[in-house]
Amino acid sequence: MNDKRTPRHGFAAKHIPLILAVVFFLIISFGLASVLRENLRVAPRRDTAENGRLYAHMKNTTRFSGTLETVRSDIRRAVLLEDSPQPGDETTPWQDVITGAISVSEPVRHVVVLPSEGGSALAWSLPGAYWAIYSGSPVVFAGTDSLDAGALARIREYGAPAFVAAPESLLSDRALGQIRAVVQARRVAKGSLAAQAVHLAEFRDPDSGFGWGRTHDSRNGYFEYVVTTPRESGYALAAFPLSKSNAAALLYASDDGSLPGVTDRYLWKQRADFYVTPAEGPFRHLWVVGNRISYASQARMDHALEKGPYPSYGTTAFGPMEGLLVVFMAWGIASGIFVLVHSTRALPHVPLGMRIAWISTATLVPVLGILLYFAAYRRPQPASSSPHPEFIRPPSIQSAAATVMGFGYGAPVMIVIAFLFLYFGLPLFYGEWAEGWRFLFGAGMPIMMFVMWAGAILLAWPLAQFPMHLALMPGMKRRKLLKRTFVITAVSMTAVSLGMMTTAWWMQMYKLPMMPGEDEILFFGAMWLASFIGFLIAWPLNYPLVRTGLKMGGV
Amino acid sequence: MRLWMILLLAVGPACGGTAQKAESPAERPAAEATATAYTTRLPAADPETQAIVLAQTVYGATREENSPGAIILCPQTPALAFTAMNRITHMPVNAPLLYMTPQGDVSEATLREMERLKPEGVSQDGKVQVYVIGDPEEKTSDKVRERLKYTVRRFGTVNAITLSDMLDRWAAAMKADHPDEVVVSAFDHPEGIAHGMGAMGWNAHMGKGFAWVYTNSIPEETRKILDRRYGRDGAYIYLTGGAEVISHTVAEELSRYGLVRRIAGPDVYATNAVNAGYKDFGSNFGWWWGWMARDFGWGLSQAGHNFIIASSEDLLGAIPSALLGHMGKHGPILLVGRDDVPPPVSDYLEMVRPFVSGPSHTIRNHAWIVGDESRISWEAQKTIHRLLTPNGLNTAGIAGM
Repeated sequence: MNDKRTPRHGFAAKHIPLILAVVFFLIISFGLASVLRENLRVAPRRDTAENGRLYAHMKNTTRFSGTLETVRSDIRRAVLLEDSPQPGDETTPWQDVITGAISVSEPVRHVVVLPSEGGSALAWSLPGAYWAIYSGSPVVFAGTDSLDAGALARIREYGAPAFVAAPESLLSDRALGQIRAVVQARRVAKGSLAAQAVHLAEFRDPDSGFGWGRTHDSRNGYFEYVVTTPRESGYALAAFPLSKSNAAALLYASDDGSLPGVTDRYLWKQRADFYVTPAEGPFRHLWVVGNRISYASQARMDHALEKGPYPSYGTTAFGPMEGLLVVFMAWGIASGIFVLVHSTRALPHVPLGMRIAWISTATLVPVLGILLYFAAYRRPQPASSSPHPEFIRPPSIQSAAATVMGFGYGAPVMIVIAFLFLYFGLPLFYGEWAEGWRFLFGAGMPIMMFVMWAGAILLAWPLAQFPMHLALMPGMKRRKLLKRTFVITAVSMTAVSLGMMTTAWWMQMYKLPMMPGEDEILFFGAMWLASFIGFLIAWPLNYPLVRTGLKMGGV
Repeated sequence: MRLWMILLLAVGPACGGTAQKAESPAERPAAEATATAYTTRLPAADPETQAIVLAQTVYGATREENSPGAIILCPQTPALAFTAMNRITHMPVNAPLLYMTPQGDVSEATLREMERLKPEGVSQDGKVQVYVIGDPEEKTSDKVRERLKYTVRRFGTVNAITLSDMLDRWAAAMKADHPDEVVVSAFDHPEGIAHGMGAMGWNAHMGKGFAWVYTNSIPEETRKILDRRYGRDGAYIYLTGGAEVISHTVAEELSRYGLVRRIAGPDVYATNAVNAGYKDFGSNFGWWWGWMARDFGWGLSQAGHNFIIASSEDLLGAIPSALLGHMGKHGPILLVGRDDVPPPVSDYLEMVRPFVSGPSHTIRNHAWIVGDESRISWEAQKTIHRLLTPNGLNTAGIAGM
């Protein structure tokens, strides 16, 4: 009879845990792929998001668009200067508009040198001009290869360090040399207009006071920016007053309405974090001027500047806690791959179900999982009468191996159940009966936790523990084995749950601003960490199970 | 941390790109809202449009993360909208409030906005996308299901006091907790809602409890709500308005259920200005190695904040504006008249006025102006702008333009 049963049991022991593992792997991979997809896509709903909008303002971006004259008028109205003199008309040279906007502050601490020749000179000049208008710094215009005598004389007269906000193509080293012959001079330039604007927004020379100094580390400033495209430089000129009234620096989008990577990255780094509530400040704000920047780009900028809690920086952004958890998960994945390769090559005689359990344990228990794996398989039993290979292990490692048998299946099951709950939505009941403590019976979170616990037992028991033990103990009666494996699985999963649920609750209550969605890295990171703690709690609790012979620790 | 951000953000644009089509001016909204350097007007002539404008301001809706979790669809009944905004808007729901028509239907404009918003669905509540308030015959709910294929949960009562009890049980099930702090407003006082407007904004921002009382008595539903609180003192109860709004007798009776505090001024302007600066924190409960404080109120008493300026005469327009305190720059609601900024508000704004600082440490205030000029005039907006202008700002460079 045994001869007939063994092959079938061997098949079950080998394939059911494997199928279970593959299903878990696929679901968790789907979840992690969703996380990546959600974070990398820029504006998947761009086709419908603008439908029916009545105004273009958003919570972190104010938009001025229309004709240049309209925008100029709107800006003047915005800073409440209806009665002030009109700026130069279209025929006024832009150099004169810039110098006319500056009220030089005394004493002069630095001079801003801007390019004046070439088709792109205006666009290159504007970021520096915004700073000069805000700070009251004198501006001197230079030709591509030289400065005229008057310009050099003014620089000499100011006697302050000069900052050349132009690339070599617009203001050559020869011209820079002329300035250096008069005063200390430094070129502050990057290779593209967008990069140049970001560079000036971040740059700060503390000695001369030149530059906005708005780096990622300037956490508490209420920074504002004017954003336009190089081809709409006239709009940036019209928005000059905002550099004074709102201390706004200038940033560039691309002429096709998209956001260059350098601007996009800078804005994300400008997302403010809060420690207590988002009401605490600071906030950041953009003034989008012109017609070329697309709605999708504006919405992305608006989203980029949305305040987020310190640990995660909010949705889409990447916060410090997410960074730590990603490192933790990466170690786990590397550990799992290592055990997969090593066990396949070095331990092919160990039952497949056990190897799968070690692989998933090493994945969820980074580094420690590998150490335990090596400790467990270091010394094979030389003369074992058992139908399967056994290994000599100290009691603590036997406990670890016994824990792995349950944890390796139960923990992934719990993660998958939690993922599916969040994916499809938690159930919720709140009838008239929901008074006193009874309301918890209708609450989604406790229901999910209960199902995670029960599901781990009810799935891991018949699909992993029972077939695996059947293969390891073919002589044992099926009914007895069913009962035994149920007790083993229930005790083991309760121990794992104790650590997992407590950690997940602690993360939720004290470390995460709110319950993460199933497409957020925080969900997987928190579950990963909770699994690790679950293993640490379950390990010592498995010791008495091994000592009493209820669980096997030598496989 | 910075390195991580740089790495991810470097990959992001490379993979997804940020190329979006450029649009011609003709494709843009024709009329822009009126913005000043420190204020932004969100104009609308009726509550339904106002709610749409507010939702559009907060949710770009180009991706899941800048779309709402759900939408509240509510009749144009101030008490119902006020109750819903108090309890539903906050995370994890993350919902703007849109209005039904005065006849209780849902208009095409609102349907279009609901379609644009594409709510993700609330994971903690079976992925519900729309919370319909009232609608006893379920016609509106069915219309939303049919037209938009959204998942709907209906709170079918048209009684705001019953609704507050219903939402209290619903919110507790969703969060597996009853927040111990409970805002209490007067149902039968003509200015009961206006006095509670600022505290409602705090609830939309922080998700605390809410209940109604009458000026001189307490409804049974409110007693049940307060009985569900298990803080050290039971509930922490915040009455909105003075004794003429919620009587001393009621306050004393409420003290059976917990610690009672008042957020009150001599008029609705003062009450909401007090609310902006109000903060109550202290003991709640502890369990040896852990503890949880009670923590209620904006407590803004210095520069560097945002304010939502709404008209005291336009409650239906003001109620959904609490959304601006839930996302973006956040901040409390202040009420003003059409043409004037009453002294309690101007004094408060003067007190928290910013000042000029260095380019790396700028500090700024901002205000949203809710409603068109028939609600809050351009003159009043200019007054607010001036009250928010940083002290010490040298405008010489601007005037020289």
